[in-house]
Amino acid sequence: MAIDVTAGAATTRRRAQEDPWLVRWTLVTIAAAVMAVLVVVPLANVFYEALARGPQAYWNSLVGDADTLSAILLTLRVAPLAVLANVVFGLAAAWAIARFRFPGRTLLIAMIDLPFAVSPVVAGLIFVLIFGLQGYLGPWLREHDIKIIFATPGLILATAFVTFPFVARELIPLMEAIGAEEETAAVSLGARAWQIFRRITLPNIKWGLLYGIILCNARAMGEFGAVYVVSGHIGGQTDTMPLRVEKLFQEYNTAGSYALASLLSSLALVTLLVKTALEWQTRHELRSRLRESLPDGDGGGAAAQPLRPRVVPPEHRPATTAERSEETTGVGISVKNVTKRFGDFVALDDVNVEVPHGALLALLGPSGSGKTTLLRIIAGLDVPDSGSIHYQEEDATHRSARDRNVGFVFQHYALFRHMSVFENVAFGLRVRRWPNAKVEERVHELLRLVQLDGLGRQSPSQLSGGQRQRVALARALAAEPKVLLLDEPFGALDAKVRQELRHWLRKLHDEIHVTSVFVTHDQEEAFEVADRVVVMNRGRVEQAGTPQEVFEHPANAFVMDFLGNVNVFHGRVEGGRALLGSFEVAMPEYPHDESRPVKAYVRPHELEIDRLPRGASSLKADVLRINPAGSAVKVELLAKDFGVPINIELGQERYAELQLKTGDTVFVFPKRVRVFVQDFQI
Amino acid sequence: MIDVNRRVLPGFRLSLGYTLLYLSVLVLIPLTACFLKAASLSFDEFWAAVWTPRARAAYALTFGTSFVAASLNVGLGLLVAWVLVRYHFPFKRIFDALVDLPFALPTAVAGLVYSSLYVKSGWLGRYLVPLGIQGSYSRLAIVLVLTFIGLPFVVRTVQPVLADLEAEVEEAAACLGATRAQTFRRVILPSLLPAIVTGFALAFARGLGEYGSVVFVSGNMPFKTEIAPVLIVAALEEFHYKQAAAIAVVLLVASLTMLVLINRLERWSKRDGN
Repeated sequence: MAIDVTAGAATTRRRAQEDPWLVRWTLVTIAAAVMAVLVVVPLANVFYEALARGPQAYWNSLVGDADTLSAILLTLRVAPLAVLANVVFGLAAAWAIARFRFPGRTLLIAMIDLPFAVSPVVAGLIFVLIFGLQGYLGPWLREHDIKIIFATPGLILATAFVTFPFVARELIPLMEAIGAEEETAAVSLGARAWQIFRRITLPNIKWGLLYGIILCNARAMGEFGAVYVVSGHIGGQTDTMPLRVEKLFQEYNTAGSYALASLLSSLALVTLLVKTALEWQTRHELRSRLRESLPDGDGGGAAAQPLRPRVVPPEHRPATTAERSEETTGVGISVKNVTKRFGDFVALDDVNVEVPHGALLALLGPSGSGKTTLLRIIAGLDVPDSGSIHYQEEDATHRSARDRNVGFVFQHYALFRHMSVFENVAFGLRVRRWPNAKVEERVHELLRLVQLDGLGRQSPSQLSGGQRQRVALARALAAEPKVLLLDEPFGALDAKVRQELRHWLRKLHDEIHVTSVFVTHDQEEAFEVADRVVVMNRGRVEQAGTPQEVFEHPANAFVMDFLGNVNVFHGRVEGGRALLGSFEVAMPEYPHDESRPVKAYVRPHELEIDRLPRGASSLKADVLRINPAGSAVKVELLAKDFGVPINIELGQERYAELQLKTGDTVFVFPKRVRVFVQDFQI
Repeated sequence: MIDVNRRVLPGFRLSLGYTLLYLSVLVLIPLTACFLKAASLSFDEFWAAVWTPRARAAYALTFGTSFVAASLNVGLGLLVAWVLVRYHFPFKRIFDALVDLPFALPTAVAGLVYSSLYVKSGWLGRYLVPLGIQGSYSRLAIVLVLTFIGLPFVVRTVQPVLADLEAEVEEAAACLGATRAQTFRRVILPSLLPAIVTGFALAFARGLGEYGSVVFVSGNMPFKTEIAPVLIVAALEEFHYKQAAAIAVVLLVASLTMLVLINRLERWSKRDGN
């Protein structure tokens, strides 16, 4: 559904001026004439003919005619039952098709369209062939005195066949557009199937469902061909309204025929009215949903106050399960030999990770490195192909997400749009049937903790991105989870809010000490917030350790590369010496004579600049650009002899001392070089 | 990602199981029964049932009138969609809502009113019949009522595509020196084509199967104004179930082919749209 709700109106107006006035009005007039002849005149004719003999005659031909009255009542019986059956089917089909992938799914979708292509007469015929007197089940039915054809059940069957796509066709794209995020969030908060359906799915699809019901009902009340074949035309018994219209017409009772037709037309007009209203409603909702999904800062929302870390006295801190159980200093979460494939793609390859109890660990890596998959497996939102997940020595691999008691914060928050902030936070407690008073107390406690007290009655759409993220966090913490998992928690926020929330998350973790894992691709974020960092690449753990360890002693070239902001020199190593351009570095670890390629890494602050060469290990370079803003002066150079660009960070004092200008030729010296031969480090 | 959600969200087996059960009971088993019934005829009998001169005339009429009506719908639908998307005029919202009336109005009502509008004493017939235009109990009557039935299909498939068309593309064409007509023919029309074809196919398929409205307006004269579904009803009324099933199979195969075609077209237009 590609509905451009933001730009539509403006562009239409602009374009409208392009066509000359004459062309515009000629086209509008012709279109209006077409509509008048095809639609308006016939509609007017129905009501004119129906009322031509006065209201009394009209009333008599509707209610005074026993067979007509019974046809009206029969339609009011048949249509709702067929619609009800199709609503149940539509919900089931939409859930299966929009929420799961399985073989034969495309075929199933195509089959739902079948009635659109099958002639209604054929639809009626197939039921006659099965349930009719001469049909496959005919003799058995007669034996048990069950009447389907030429009776109400047959009418319901035929009507249901013709109208069954409407609800499903409406719900499938709608549910696909809404996405499964909120439902997945509900699972992670401990909701059961029925609770998810009633509290999350149904409120989200209610307008689309109603739309489908309206269309389905209109078609069910008006169905002619299929019903015609199975009805047997027993006056007063199996004639529905449209069949009665035809019978009266055949009997030359034009007045009666038109009276009933006008009733059906009125129903059609009511359908159009409701349908148009619903379209406005859904368009409005889609528009607000679109607005919500736009990234924004802390500006747009209600009363954005700056985040100040707040010291909470220990007795007021929300207790977590982790805290209440005796302080174990052991392992909080351990991931053992986990492998996960999606088809041919290996997302995780024999991964082992340990999260110390009460620690805040960052899973750091580029996109596609498997970090989010690992997080989802820890949460139980994905199942590993092999390996196991333990929460404090306890094997949780085969426990569902619902029973693991984890708090999961989704990248795009996955807040329940139709619920207030308060109800969002309360969700995990309500599905666990906490008493109201306790829910109230706990939610307020958490809203205080995330500094959103007073905003409980707002809807998520009224909040800024940063506030929404904090609601998501409060919601995840509400049911006292054993572990807290955050998927790119600050990914959708702008730089300033990000920075603020980072500090705040660190403070928060210092207060509540729940074992936490968060996923990020931003190394700065990982180093600033986490106690431990796990660097991942292509489904493998490249390095695990404290931020300091990882930064100071990168385990290999990938980690060094990924941590970024580094100068790379290519060279060769042989006989214990590495040659990198005009640098020479001792490398006793590689004493072999065979020459091999190496990569050397030097961080910008680990290079020095001088006006004159100092011995052999210096590199001649030209200054390309100087950016003196900030605590360190950033200098870009080019080593012409080797075609290597170099970035250097100088202290302000040294910069002043050197009096560097663009175009100067200078000499560069490394203070520290890390050389990697394959996976082999000095 | 074959089953990311399968394990996490509940209710996969229940929902898919119920969907398949419902489809089987309501659609698959009855349709199979229809094919079985037709298969109980020998080939010669089958051929005799589905290929009589009367049946051939009915097929030709059904396909012919549906095709003409769907083609008319392309022209009219394009015009209506264009006007609705591009211009502002009084009562536009009512105009827009009324486009869907053929969806909502029972076909019997459409048949009833179309059959009386174009007779000699009817609101429109009194002007047309003296000119020799017989808008009821004729082939023209079938085309007219099928045009009414199919109108929303083209409008509703073209409308969103037209609304999504970027203004810049047209402006670019104008800057490059194209006239308005050239822009329409070379820039706008090609991007609407997939939607137009889909709309045409939907209207055509709907016309092939239509029964309720046509029996009112056509007069059902064999060889002249008798459509294929009427043959089935006629066979049923004479208790010739196998023959009815045979003709149904012909119609089913035709409409299943249409369904596959529409599916392909939808995929094609979606890919093109992106």
